[in-house]
Amino acid sequence: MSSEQAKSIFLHAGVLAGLFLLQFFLPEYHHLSVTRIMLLAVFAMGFNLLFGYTGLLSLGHAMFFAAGMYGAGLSAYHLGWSVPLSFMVGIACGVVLSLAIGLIALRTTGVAFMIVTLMFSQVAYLTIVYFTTYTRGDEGLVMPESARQFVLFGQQLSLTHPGTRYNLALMLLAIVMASVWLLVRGDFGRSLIAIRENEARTKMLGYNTFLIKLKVLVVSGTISASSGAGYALMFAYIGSSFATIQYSIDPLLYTLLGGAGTVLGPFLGTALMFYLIDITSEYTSAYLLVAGIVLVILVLFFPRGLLGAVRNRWFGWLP
Amino acid sequence: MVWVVAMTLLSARRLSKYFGGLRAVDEVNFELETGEIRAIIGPNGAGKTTFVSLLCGRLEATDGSIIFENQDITGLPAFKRARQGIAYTFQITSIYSKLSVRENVAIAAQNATDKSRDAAYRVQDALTRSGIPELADEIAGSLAYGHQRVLEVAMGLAMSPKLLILDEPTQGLSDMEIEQFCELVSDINNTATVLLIEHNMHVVMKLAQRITVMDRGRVLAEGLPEEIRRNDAVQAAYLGS
Ligand SMILES: Nc1ncnc2c1ncn2[C@@H]1O[C@H](COP(=O)(O)OP(=O)(O)OP(=O)(O)O)[C@@H](O)[C@H]1O
Ligand SMILES: [Mg+2]
Repeated sequence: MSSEQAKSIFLHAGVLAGLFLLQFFLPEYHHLSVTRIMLLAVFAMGFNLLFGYTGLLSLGHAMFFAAGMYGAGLSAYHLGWSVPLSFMVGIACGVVLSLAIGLIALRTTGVAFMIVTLMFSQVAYLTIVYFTTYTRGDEGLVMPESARQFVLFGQQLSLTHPGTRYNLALMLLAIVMASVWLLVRGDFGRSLIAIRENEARTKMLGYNTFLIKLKVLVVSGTISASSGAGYALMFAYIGSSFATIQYSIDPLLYTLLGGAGTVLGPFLGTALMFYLIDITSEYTSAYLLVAGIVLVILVLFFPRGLLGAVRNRWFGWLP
Repeated sequence: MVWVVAMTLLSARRLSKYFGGLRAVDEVNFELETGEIRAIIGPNGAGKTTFVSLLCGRLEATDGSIIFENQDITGLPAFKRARQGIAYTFQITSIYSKLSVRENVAIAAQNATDKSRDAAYRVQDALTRSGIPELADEIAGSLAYGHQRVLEVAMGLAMSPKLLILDEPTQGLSDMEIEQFCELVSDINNTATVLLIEHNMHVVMKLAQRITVMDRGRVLAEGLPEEIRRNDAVQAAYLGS
């Protein structure tokens, strides 16, 4: 193992260990905030695989988040399925949707890809609203009591317990972080970066770029869906607002802020953005404006995001 | 007693590419033997780049067929042809300018035809053979132009190709760089057949075993360097003297 690799493992494991320890010190309010941040960071990490590493900007990732959320939420609500099973359904919905979207949307590139994903995401949103009998549209559904308790590894768990939610979110974050880390450091990650940097050349070097893009879109969509499924089950609510354009833009903002094309960037960006909005909204109702201005400044001065700047300047080994 | 039989590596039959009404490549018949260095020459706009783009799959043929190692590859996408051993270097430098030289070569080495050695070895080997091992950690986009051209070739080399197509590789190089380049191509020829598009007649005469002359989408002449030098039609169309 190279020393760079060791350093990198140390850093990422350190962040996860830090998050684990943090729960014993956080006051109740922040405990809940960090739980949300970890789940949303998973969403952003999925997004970043496609955007940061492969150079494909999707403006419709809310549909994958929503696929996970509704796949899990509807099966728990209407079918009374257990939490783990519902979670799996959410993930399966993510796989199916991203595969279908990929087969169509990846025929386009650049701006056309942005528009096509945006449109499909609108279709997903309207579909949720259209089937209001089952989804209750904007009003949404609150998960039944049966979907708050479950057994995992012989352990009776309750999702009403904040500690359980925190550690489940951390577990999901850890699994996704490790997977992304492994993925981007191997041959597959190299082919993603090659596509991002020069797709025409990459084709001529023997890469089936369409297939690679399809694979990464499915992984990206599935990770985003796992975040949506986790969100639905942990916070016991699903609603169509989670499928709006705002939820497609958020992971982009998180990723840009933290650093596109870095493993930790999306997590860092999610945490900063979350607290930025949280704090400014205490002082002004125009908190989104403040957030926007901060973002513009950051993008102007740190075009590669915070971690990207750190990597350029000091730590070339940061994956 | 050993019989040395010339083997055909690649052949094109009535290969054509039309851009609207323009016949950029017009019913070209072409044969390439295993192990040779072949030069394609011809005036600007003759269709040289278009022709080799059809061979490597960067462009789709309007008509005709291409056989590589006795297999019809006319319908194969570019990436499959690359994996079968056809490497192409762009006329306009096309590298990963934000990545390091080593990373550029590593991307190319990942789909090499011959994977008997491990990837790290193949990358280092391609860098060494191309004479740029000391530049491995530089960012490709920051290299001098001549080195970028060499990197292009190193990437082709890393694919361990059976056929390496070089599209005007010496364009813009200094005389000294051109000499080094000729040595590199000779070395590559030990393991690969080379198809070279080249304007510099000094390079062509030095390297090529056979020359194909193209003009207006057609093959005007083909033969040994000496024959081409003496050919009247070629003189008139191209050499201009
Ligand atoms: N994509 C394209 N669309 C339309 N016309 C094209 C295209 N590519 C090439 N052509 C035309 O086809 C003809 C042959 O071009 P090509 O680039 O193959 O010539 P060439 O022999 O490589 O010339 P040069 O020596 O300048 O590189 C030219 O008239 C060119 O303008
Ligand atoms: Mg040309």
